[in-house]
Amino acid sequence: MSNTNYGLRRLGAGVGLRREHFDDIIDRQPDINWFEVIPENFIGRGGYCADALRKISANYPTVGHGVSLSIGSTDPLDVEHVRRVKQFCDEIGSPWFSDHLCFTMVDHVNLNDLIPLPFTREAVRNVAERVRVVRDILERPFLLENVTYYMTVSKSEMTEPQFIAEILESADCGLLLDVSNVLLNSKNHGFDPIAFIETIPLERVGQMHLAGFEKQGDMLLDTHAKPVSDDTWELFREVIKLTGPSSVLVEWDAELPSLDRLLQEAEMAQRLMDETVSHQTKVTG
Amino acid sequence: MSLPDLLSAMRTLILDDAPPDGGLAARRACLHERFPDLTETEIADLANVPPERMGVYTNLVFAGERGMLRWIFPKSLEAVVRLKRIGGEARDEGDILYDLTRDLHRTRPWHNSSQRALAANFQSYALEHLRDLTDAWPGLVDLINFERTELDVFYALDFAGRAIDVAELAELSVGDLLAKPVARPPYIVPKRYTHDVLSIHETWHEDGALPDALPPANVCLTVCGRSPANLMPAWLRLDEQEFAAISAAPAGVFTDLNTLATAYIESAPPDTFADEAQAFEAFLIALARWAHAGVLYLGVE
Repeated sequence: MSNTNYGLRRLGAGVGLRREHFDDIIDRQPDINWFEVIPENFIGRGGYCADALRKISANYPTVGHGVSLSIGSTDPLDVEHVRRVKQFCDEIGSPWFSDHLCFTMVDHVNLNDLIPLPFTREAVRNVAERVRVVRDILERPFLLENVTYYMTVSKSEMTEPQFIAEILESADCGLLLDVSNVLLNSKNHGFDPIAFIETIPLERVGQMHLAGFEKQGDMLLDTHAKPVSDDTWELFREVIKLTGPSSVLVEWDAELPSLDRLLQEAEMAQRLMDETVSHQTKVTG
Repeated sequence: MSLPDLLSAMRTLILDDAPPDGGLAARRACLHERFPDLTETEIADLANVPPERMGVYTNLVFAGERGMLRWIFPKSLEAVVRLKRIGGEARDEGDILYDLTRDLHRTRPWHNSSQRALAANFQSYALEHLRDLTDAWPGLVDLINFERTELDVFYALDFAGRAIDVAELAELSVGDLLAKPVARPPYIVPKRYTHDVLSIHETWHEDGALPDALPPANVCLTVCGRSPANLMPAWLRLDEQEFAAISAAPAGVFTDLNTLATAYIESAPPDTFADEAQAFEAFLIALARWAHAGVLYLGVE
């Protein structure tokens, strides 16, 4: 068991902060450990969203999670954007910051989606160099999230877990392990998710994601529109046996349910972590 | 190996057209022709990607962008679909808007992740590329402007002023009241539309749909404030006097309330008010409306 959580505080289970839930959260102050916040939804904005975030971040731990850093792009890094993210993280007291291991923009054209990188050494060097700049500006730990991919552009030089491991080591950053993405990719591309988990440097895992996905044709799509699936919960249970509890975030972005329904998912994640710790304490105690 | 060339080719294949699904050899030949700077390995890697898998990303990109446009411009896009149907378009609404989104991206590439930039792109795209629709119903231009304005007000950075408390102002002497510094935040702009888009907005809120008939030309004066109660955009129908008074407040700069009162009273048609007291009372009623909608703010003393 790695059990370091990359040196980061273990916040337990939380949920993604979405505009549709602002009023409910402010009015009811639900019992939840923390919220993950997408800076792009707040930077440069005032009014209702900014006011709600001020109120919520005053009462709950909030952690920034970006969607447009485009860390794998070959366009020049948008340093001004990173500086704005740093200021945002300072304002909400985000203890760390994460974004996705992918590119979202290239040739200065925004694709507005998480496009997978080729698993090549050149891509490793490119990402690692950019992560070092980002980390220095942010002045807080930086985590990269493994993404889903529906196509593999290049796997001749290394596999996905090797690609992730090389980047984390050479950039010296942490991993936001999206457990659902591992399971989804394993089903879409036919690999063993447990073997994947055992290959990546678990001591660098500082946060996790769980989300629902859907079958479309012969593929599973990462829609974030459904509850976390039973087999994802199973894999999550196996992962936390290896990593110990972490800061685990349930994502739900489309066909958003009520806050209570979302909180049930977080309760499930917390219960599994508590049970695993309790079981391991009994075994070792 | 050249990562920039490879990522650029991926972008092109995702946004434009994937290579033909004619088998591996055909895909390789096509990719060679389209991307002469790629290495043999990169060509082989890209050719190995089944077109339908590349197509997943094409769909994610444009369906995602269409969803964002629907959120920003629900009424305008419904009007676009209705006008296209009147013009003989028979396809599903989702397909019509998907193609429109692709065309928007092709002619006005989205250069950052800002929703406001996407909204600006759509507005300029509509003016240039949806001329058949705006000619058929010129109100579409107003409706797009209306919804973009609402987005801008919703997201605008907070203005350094405080909401007007009418009860507090009522306690003041006339002299003190008229000396109060007030400003219109830069994001609040009085609008003179050629079509009554405010009535469309009201129908939408009541029925969740556009009116049965798109309204003919009919001047509509309005302004979108930000309600101090919930910080949401709040539209206010204006008469000519109110329009003149709010326009007299320079955007983002404090001026005394007397300037607005003068603009309000002087813009009234002759004989509107029996005397100065009645004119002043009418101004105070209008001021209360503007305060309620968050159109004007007081200076922070």
